[in-house]
Amino acid sequence: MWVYEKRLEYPVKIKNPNPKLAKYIITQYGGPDGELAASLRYLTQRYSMPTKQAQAILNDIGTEELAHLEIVATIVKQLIENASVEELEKAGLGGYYADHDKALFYVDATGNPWTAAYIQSKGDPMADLHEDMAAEQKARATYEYLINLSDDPDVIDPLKFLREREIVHFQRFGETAEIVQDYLATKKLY
Amino acid sequence: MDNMMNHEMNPMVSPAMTNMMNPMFSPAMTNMMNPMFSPAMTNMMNPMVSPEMTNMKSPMMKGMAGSEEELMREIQKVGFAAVDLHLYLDTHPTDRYALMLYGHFSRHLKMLMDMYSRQYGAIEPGADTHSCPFSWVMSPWPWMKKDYMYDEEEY
Repeated sequence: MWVYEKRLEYPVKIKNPNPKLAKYIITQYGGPDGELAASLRYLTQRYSMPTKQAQAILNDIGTEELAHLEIVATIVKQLIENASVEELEKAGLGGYYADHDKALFYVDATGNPWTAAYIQSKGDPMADLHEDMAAEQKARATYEYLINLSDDPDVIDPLKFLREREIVHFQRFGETAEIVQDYLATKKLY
Repeated sequence: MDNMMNHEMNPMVSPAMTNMMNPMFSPAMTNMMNPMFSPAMTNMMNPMVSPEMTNMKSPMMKGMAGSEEELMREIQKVGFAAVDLHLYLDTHPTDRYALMLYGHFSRHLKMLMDMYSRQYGAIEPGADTHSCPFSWVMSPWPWMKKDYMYDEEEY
């Protein structure tokens, strides 16, 4: 079960509104390589992992991704909360505003809603773990593109943190894949 | 030798890591103006504590605003170290040195969170059972900007 700590894993304090940036960054909230996809993928895959260690890592990284989801939401919220409706419209968020005002919703950078088609839980641990490794690389690349799009240090700072975490998660999934592979190989000997 | 080396009270392991007064752990711990050094003054049930002292927005307490941010930064730093070590331990469950470090960070984090909750309200369930209204509700939520003027609302 989950316990919530009333704090962000990494601080976010945006001084300048920037709805244009928000439109891009929201892809890590509800897009194909974003934190919601990551979290739900890992948390649903954990049930079919063959070793306790793999269950642990899927559980714990899935949980950390929820903390990252919160950071992305905070960045987007702070980028749009002080912007006028005109500024939102000029930045291409007119449609979003019509549907959601300045609330957060799970969409990608072009407004497509989140879908479970972004994730898989194949049951086969090698398939699942390799999907997880690919997901972390995709997320890492996306954060790099978002950092390239940003010129505001208040925004770049948390994005850099999130990018680094993807690299570490990739490392952990790689280790888990090795461990599970060894385990499955020994199972075959008996 | 192995079982001596993972006993964390063994100063040979790391004298600095067992000394909680070590300033390395937290600037807040060396600040003698830190209310943690006077528990009576932060106990909201203590009638000696004036309403001024329990209202973190009051002019008297505004001087503490800087240290609230400092304390939260410490919690985020130590909390992050613990999370990162936690993931490492998931794939390296027999690494004794990592286990020891994880223990130190976790205990230090708990102390910092308790300190924060006592002064600024609960940041984990059950951390503050005295304040009325329920401080879990009343303290700012993490996605709000601290210096932004939100509409004053009751709850």
